[in-house]
Amino acid sequence: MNFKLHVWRQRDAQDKGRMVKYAVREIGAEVSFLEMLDLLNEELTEAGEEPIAFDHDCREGICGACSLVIDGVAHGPGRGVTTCQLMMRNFRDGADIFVEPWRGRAFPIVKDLVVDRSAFDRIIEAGGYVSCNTGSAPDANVTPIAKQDADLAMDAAQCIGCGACAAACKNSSAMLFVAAKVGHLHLLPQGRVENQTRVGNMVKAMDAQGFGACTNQQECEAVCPKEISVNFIAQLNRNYVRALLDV
Amino acid sequence: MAITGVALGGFVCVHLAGNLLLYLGPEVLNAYAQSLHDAPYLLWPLRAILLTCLVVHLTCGITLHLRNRKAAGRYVKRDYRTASLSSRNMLLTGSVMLLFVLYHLAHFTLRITDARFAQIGHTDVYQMLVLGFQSPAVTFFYVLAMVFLGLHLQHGLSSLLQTLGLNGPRYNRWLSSGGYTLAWLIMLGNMSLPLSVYLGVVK
Ligand code: HEM
Ligand code: FES
Repeated sequence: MNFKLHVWRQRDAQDKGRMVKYAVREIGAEVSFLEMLDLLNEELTEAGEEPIAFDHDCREGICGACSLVIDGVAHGPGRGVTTCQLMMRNFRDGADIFVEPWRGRAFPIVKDLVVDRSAFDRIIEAGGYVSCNTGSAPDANVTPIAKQDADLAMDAAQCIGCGACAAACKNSSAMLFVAAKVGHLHLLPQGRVENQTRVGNMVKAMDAQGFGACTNQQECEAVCPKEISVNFIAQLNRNYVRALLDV
Repeated sequence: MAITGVALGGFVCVHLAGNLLLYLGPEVLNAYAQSLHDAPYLLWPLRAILLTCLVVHLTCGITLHLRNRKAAGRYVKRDYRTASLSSRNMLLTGSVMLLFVLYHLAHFTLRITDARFAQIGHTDVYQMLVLGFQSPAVTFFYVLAMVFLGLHLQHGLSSLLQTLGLNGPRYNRWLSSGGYTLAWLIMLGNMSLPLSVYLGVVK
């Protein structure tokens, strides 16, 4: 397969950046999107040019490092997959493909397609933890958890913190990320200790990091590689009101 | 936004219900108008609440828009998967509504845009509507404004329960399609009034 890539190139945080065109040829349909970029980078390196910088690590959809906006959609045309799991067979032969980094005030570009996502770390520091005794592992089943709660908490805990939700949001709101973290911890007995303070602190941190506010457009859910539901956002709003009213 | 939106939406529903009395003839509609004017102790507090809600709704809306615009990233190419047209243009549809409300108040409440209204009795609302919607320009503007109202309410009504956290996975499908349906019913109901006068169905 052949493609015409339009890739965002930006030397460093200060550089203005621009789209640069690259032709890639004879790519197998079973090649992944990142492998396609690897092949292009090899060519660029051999030609003495600067390879395209992009984030990746596990390449199996669990670490949340890969982060490309492909043809205007975070993680590209696949449903429920990360960029690293996207295959070239999902594209039409000869297609023009636009590749851009996550964008938003809270995700400053470091270089080319790499952005700084430490804003998420600071939101986690504000409340994404539980207070418990450490030491030897507790016996199994000492803390009973209802099956529904365990299942729901697992749904939320699938969040890999990639940032696609905020990248896809018209307002660059990180609401789904925060909702997944809050939802996951609120549902479990271990997380209840901080229930009253967690929501407020994490939402405050989200605002402080420069993310926007949610206006319920649900674009986040549509691009989330783990398909985390916006129902967690409703739950977050509920918990926020409860914490405000102190009930 | 959601709380003041509920109040404004409630007004729109009551307002539409009142206006639909047009189809029952001049006596019924005018009697309803008269009963409102006969109860200033009810009318004025309600107007005050309505105005407050409008101002709060507007202020929050503009603040929200500015804040989100500052946060937002700009893509060379962007494609939305689900975010609806209506959800992405709330400031635009809201602003058109504001212009409409101002014109509408000048038109039928203050009666300063149409010289003929001076000749009609104060509570002959029926006659006022029949005269008012003879004009194609006025009719067209009302109908067009209702398209914007419909769009504004489409997103507003289907998202407010999510904002307030009052929905739940079991009935979300119903709630959001209920919001859409209600928005379009309100739009069509409002549109029918100027249209049926203009087309001569109501004389
Ligand atoms: C095409 C549909 C509509 C018609 C035919 C209509 C008709 C009227 C009439 C006849 C009055 C004044 C009656 C009187 O004072 O004697 C009125 C008042 C008013 N209308 Fe409408 N209306 C329509 C849609 C709307 C919409 C969509 C809004 C916006 C939210 C709106 C906002 C108002 C307001 C704020 C008042 C003044 C209420 C008050 O002062 O208490 N109207 N309308
Ligand atoms: S590289 Fe780890 S999720 Fe894509």
